[in-house]
Amino acid sequence: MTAPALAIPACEACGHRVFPPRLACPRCHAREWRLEPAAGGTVAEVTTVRRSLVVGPGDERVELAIVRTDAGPLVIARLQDGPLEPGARVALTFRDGRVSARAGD
Amino acid sequence: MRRDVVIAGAAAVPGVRRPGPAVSTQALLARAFELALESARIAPGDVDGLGVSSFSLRPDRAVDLAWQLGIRARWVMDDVVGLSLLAHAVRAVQAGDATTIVLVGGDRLVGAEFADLATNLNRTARDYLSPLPTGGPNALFALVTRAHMRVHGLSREAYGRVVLAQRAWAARNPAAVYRDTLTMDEYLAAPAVADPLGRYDCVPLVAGAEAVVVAARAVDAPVAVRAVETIFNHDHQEGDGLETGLGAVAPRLWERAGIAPADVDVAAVYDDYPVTVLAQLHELGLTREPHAAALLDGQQDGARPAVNTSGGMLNAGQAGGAGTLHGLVECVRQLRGERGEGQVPGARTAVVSTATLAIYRYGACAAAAVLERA
Repeated sequence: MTAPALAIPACEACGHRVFPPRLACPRCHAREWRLEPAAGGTVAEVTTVRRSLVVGPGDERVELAIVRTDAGPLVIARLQDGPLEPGARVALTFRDGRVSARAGD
Repeated sequence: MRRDVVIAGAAAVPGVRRPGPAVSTQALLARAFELALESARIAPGDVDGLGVSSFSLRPDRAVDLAWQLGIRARWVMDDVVGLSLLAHAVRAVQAGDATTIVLVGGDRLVGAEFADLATNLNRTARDYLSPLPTGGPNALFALVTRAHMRVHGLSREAYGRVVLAQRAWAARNPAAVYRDTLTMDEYLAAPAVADPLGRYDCVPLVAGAEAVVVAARAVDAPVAVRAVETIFNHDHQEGDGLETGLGAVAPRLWERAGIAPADVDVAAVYDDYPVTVLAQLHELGLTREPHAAALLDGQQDGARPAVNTSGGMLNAGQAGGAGTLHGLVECVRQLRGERGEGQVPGARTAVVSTATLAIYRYGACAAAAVLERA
């Protein structure tokens, strides 16, 4: 049950890539998209969520990161294997709305 | 010839952290509506427009609240960006579509009510953030703060300075929920929420409401609206989140207002998080330094503009949709000389700004208004 590699929409008309998906391209307003692979990226920023609507005291912390995908767009990813530092290379997968990142290419 | 538009009155229902079961969103909005009209010395029967900023009034909208309040309106509007309501209300009064518009915002959103709102704030939050789970907006602004720290070479103290400066103002605001003196050591030692954010970086949620009256008529101690600018989706969420969009509209804001940032006595900038305060102060041209240290550290020694003189939402609390009217109400009260202990002496000009409503990674809505004591 490995989640599939992250793929993101690219505009059929101008090639502009976005995430999350949009109805129309913010650059040229075309509405046709193709999916392109975006499985590789570099961690830009990280946070450890210690208290939130879903994380209480004593619960497992949630590690999140902004990841600059090699394809261009910045995505928010769950760091599945614990904290990483900015600059770390990650492999991105996607399932049920969640972008997951693991160390490695 | 355009009519002069004034804000004829303003009022707040102070926020409470643990509202009893009898406190309803509808009752909070109705009370703020009543208090703002008292402030303006205008009778409910003269109101012909109503704008509402609320998340929890649903399934009702502005027209339903107008009906509940017995208002026969020529103009109604729903928007959770209070300054966007102001922009439209000013145009409506200028154009003669309405003469007296009340803008009211408020919510009772505590516990599970807030969790439901944050989880389903919009399609993007529901479909791409809640599955992570981000668990609300704190995580997003933790990531924005990290980027801000990195780009500007700042430490946590830079954000603590915002909180401390506002806390000193809150000590002079009986309606604030946090009023005790806060030291930098206490700020830094507060329980971590989402690194680098701690407890005092995150607004306390309250139940409350705020309202202003926008009118064309001559009234006692009116406050003129010199300019309002709004911008939405300024960079399509493709940047690092450090630009709110205000920088793009600030030149036109000041040009239309006919005053310069250096002329501003009071500034109220949206403060869901300290990083947002620093970004807005910088983009509006109120400080040249990204950390605004001189301006913030000098607040109690007369540095101008006076910033977030209510203590801001970080200390007064955020009552949901009232948050985007909070700074407007505070500035109107300052310009009317009604702020008692927290009054900025001789305040004549004010700027209010908002940068809010995250779509995916950061806020997508920015707005600013310049006010002047007429």
